[in-house]
Amino acid sequence: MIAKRWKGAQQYFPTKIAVGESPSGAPASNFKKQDVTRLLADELLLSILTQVSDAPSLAVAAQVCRRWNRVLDDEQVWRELCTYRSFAPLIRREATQNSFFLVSFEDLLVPRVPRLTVVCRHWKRVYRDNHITNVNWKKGLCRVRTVRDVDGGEGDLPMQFDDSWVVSVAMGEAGKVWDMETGKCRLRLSGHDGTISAVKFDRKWVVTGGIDATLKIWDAATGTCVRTLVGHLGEIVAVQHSNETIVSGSEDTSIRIWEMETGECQQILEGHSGAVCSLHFDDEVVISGSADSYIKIWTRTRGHPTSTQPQVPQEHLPPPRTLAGHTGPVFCLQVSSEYICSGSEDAKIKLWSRGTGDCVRTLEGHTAAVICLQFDDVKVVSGGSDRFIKVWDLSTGHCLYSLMQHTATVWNLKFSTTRLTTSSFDRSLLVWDFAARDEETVPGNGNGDSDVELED
Amino acid sequence: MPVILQASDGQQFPIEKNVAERSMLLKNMLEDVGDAGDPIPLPNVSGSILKNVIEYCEHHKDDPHFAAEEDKEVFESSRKKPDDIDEWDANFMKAGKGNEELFEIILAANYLDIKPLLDLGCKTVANMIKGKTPEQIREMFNIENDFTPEEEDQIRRENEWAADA
Repeated sequence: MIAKRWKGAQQYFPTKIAVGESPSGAPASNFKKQDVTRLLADELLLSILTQVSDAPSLAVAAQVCRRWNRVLDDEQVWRELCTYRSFAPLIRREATQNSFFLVSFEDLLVPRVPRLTVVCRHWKRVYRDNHITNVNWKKGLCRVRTVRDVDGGEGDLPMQFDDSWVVSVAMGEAGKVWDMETGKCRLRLSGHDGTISAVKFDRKWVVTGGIDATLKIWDAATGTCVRTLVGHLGEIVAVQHSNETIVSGSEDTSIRIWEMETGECQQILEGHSGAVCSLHFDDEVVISGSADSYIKIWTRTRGHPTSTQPQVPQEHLPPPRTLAGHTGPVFCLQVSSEYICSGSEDAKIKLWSRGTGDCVRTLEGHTAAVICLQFDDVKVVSGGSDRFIKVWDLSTGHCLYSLMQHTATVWNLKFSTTRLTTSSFDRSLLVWDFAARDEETVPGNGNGDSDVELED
Repeated sequence: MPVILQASDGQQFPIEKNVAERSMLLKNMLEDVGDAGDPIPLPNVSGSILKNVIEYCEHHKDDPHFAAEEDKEVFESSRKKPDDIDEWDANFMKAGKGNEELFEIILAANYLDIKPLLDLGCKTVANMIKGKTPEQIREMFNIENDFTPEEEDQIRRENEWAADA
């Protein structure tokens, strides 16, 4: 924007004012009375204002005078600011005739649509929507609603969910997949001998673990059980999966890595002395939290995806790294490229450096076990047996606020840019909406045109 | 052989060619017409400002030049850290320079096409704007508030969201 061909440089000088002289040729002492920014053409003024780059200062700058206000009404500036902050457009969905609510792309499953481009015409509004939503998160400003399973699942525990599907389980009964939008049952998962004790699903597969020590893979479209994985010697407590791999943790203290395609057990990781309660895995590592209070980082063997030897002998693997610090079972953990965040029965949340394995921060505030958590670049959200949901500032470790609505242990939670979904032993599923409210976001916007168009 | 620059007030500045070439305007000009040894008139730049610009160019004469595409990337990445100003550059912008002089240096840098100096000038002014109230900004640059009270009130309300952080 700033780069100018020298041929065009002349046009930035209004009339014939030589730099260093005032327009009237008056002595420099009188120059102070002049608006010095008038020397600059709009484009140069915009270059300066673009460098301001933080929205609060830009909003102030827009209030200086008419010219600054007009110059700052520039899509490019706000688009760059949005890119810099990784602000994606929030989508306006019509709630009633004259009101809208905002949802993020992840709530609409949009990231799963390949090669999607976003055409957006109001980047200042995109910035404003995201900014207000972030402030709402910081201050705990939200509206909460209960989502109900209309097919008579009132007594079921919503064990696992994403932005639109919920898997509920009831003692001794078949599991059920239902739709959050409609409340209607999609699938019944009938086959475990006893209750389902762990669930992970995507749009292709539902993987369940039971108190019967088996894992079952279900076709997410039809609800057919396509495979049963047998091998564990105790209740399945944790399960994770990708397209190729299932990783399970059990009360038998072991972790098993299974091939999705064949159902073969590829690897058994032994080393914990208590049930394996929480898991993360990627191509390189498996990270596990256990009732023995330790977190272990296991290196995965590579080059064995189609091995005919189903079990890689453990003595050939480097020993796992152990993170010690919790004094009770590690019920939940999440991993980013930088951190491991864990929650424990000791009521503490710990943030560990993934690189060094050091505990970099301990978040204290829950008065009972921490059962579930999720974190992003700025915050940690946790739920506990004390019935509280707490939101923490990741950089300081301070609890920003607590949300109290559940009447029993908070069992699971998921958050996106705009929403937090939580489930509890009180059998309820709550959606907390932090999105900017319509009246805050669309001052004087009467035309109701769509901000965002999606193109394949 | 030095290049001679002539400011709007007639002052002449003999400088080394590689110092002059920090200015893309001068670099292209020297490439196009060759250096005949005649003074190059710069009718848009006064002697006192040109002296400052030359001081900057002399300090940065050994900096690498960037190709146009690279330059955009470097510029984009530098924009992301507006507070990150080299110490010499920061002192250079501070040393006894009033607001008028600052804007004149920006204009000269734009005219002479010296992007790092233009960038530095914009960053410096941007940092002056940050954290101020509209009234403080108006005072700083002698800007007249030309909003009607109604307009001012409406614009303040439209931008209220950003003050809340």
